[in-house]
Amino acid sequence: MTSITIAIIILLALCFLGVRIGVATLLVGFVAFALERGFGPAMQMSGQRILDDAMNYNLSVIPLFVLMGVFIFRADVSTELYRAAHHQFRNLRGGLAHATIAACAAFSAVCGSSLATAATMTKVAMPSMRRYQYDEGLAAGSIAAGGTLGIMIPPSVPLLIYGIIAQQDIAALFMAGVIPGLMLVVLFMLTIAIWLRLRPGAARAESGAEDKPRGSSAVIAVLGLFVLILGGIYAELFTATEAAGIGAVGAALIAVARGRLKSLADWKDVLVEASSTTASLFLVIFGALVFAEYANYIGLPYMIVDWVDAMQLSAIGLVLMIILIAIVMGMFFESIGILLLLVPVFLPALMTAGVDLIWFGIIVVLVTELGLITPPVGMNVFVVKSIARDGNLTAMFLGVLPFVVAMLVGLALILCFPALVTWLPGLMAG
Amino acid sequence: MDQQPVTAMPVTRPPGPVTRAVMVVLKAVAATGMFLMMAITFLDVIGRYFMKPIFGAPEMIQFLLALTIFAAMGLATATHAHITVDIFTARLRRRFGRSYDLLIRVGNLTGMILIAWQLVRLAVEAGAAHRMSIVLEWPLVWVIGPAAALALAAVWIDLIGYSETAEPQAEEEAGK
Repeated sequence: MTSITIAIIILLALCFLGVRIGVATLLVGFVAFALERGFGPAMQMSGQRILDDAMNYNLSVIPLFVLMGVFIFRADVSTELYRAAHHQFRNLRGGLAHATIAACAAFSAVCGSSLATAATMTKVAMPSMRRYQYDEGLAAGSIAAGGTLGIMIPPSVPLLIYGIIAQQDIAALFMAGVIPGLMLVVLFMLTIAIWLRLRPGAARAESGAEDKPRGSSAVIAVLGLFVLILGGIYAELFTATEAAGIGAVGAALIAVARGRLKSLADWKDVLVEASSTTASLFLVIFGALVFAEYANYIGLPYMIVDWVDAMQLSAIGLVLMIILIAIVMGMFFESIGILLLLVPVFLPALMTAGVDLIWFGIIVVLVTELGLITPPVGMNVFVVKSIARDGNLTAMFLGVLPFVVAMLVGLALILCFPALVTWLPGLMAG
Repeated sequence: MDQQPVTAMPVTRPPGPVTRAVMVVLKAVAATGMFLMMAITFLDVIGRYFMKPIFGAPEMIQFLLALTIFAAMGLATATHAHITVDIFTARLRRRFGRSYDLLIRVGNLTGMILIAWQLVRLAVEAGAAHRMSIVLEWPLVWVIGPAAALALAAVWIDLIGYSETAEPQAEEEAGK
């Protein structure tokens, strides 16, 4: 237990110093394994692990969904999605904020990246909300919180990575994310409604603003792509990896049809950007899996099983404990890092306790979503701030707090009613 | 050799001829690999329903995945795309300046060297043992060898501290 404690302390120190998370976990995992088993076995283990992961067909789903997201980002559908959403909510108080959440949900359904969703929607929604004198906290909060939908509504890269680590069916996980994703949309909209009931001055009335329906082609294209991907997986026409390839081609066609991929240089930019994001994710995967090999070698997962047994923790007690750890980690770490460090260590204990791993996957991804909008890291809020440059960061973080409460309510609902997660995958299995 | 001096803090500046050539190759391999992965996956599914699936498509995708990842490793370095915890970095940089940047670069470089070294070793082993892929029966050294070369290119990008973009604003602000 001493060696793992020292390893974790060094790992955290390296991460906080600013060493790449993937490199920090790789080096600590490698050195710790070498100290336990010797340099030769450490070389053999880490080399084989890196090569196996780099050449794992199942992991090709990650670059393909990332590519789909980059194509959709390039297709520039966000403005039209936003206008179409606003047309639906134009008669509601705070229609622009409601439209932000709806457009974030639609964009997430084909993008899969929270940061990309937040960045895009800041550019699209912030100017309108400022024009109608929305409270800065409400405007930034709705964009930053809306952005988090990117990792819950499928396709989602964190869900993919969870599925691969926990060896769960990706298709079932994607289906499982649909209802919680929609539930978060409703909870975020309720939050906006309650906010404006308590503080009506937080948004000026928008009567007559942009009330012509627009953007129907973009909406149809995006929804069509979403239905194609999830429908194809649901009907078992193709696997998640194949769906990712089809989704990427579909997204490319949308970008071409909208005149956003005219030259070879445009294609190159998109492909290079997607590959660069892929490499950054894989570096974290390599590091975390080498570290997990070390943790497995010293028997950490089984020490945790014994500890859980000795503490007589129930399944829900164990899940609550992991949620607490993930919330703390979410204050500093990025979602992929949390999943890769946390899940392999607790997996045997979760299996022993009989926890449904699809349900748990949605819970852990939801908790990592929280980390995107909570201080001190709260990357989505920083993205909003970096684009809306003259905003006040403190006001933005305060504006996010009601949405954090909404997410905690969502988390409680999923904990109390697991069927919210398990019903749709159950239908697919049946 | 490149004319760029080794500085602690990666800065945006015109690349030397070696770095320019390395970046061109990395971008070409990464973009081609990514495109082919998408095209093969798509055509394989279409072929399965309407014609014939592509023989050995999953294995081709496996190889392309490895090449794309290692080609893009250096690109991610040059564009600050790697995932880091930035909460204290701005403060540490202000306090310790170049020595802090140097320490972090040495840490990152060590990790990248470890990856490249492993791949070179595995490529040599695969070549010596004439290892072949299972379905297509292609020599594995054809994939692991170039992957090792691409990983070495990533080490080069880290070593010279080449940066194509300024560090993201959000990352800096996170530390304030």
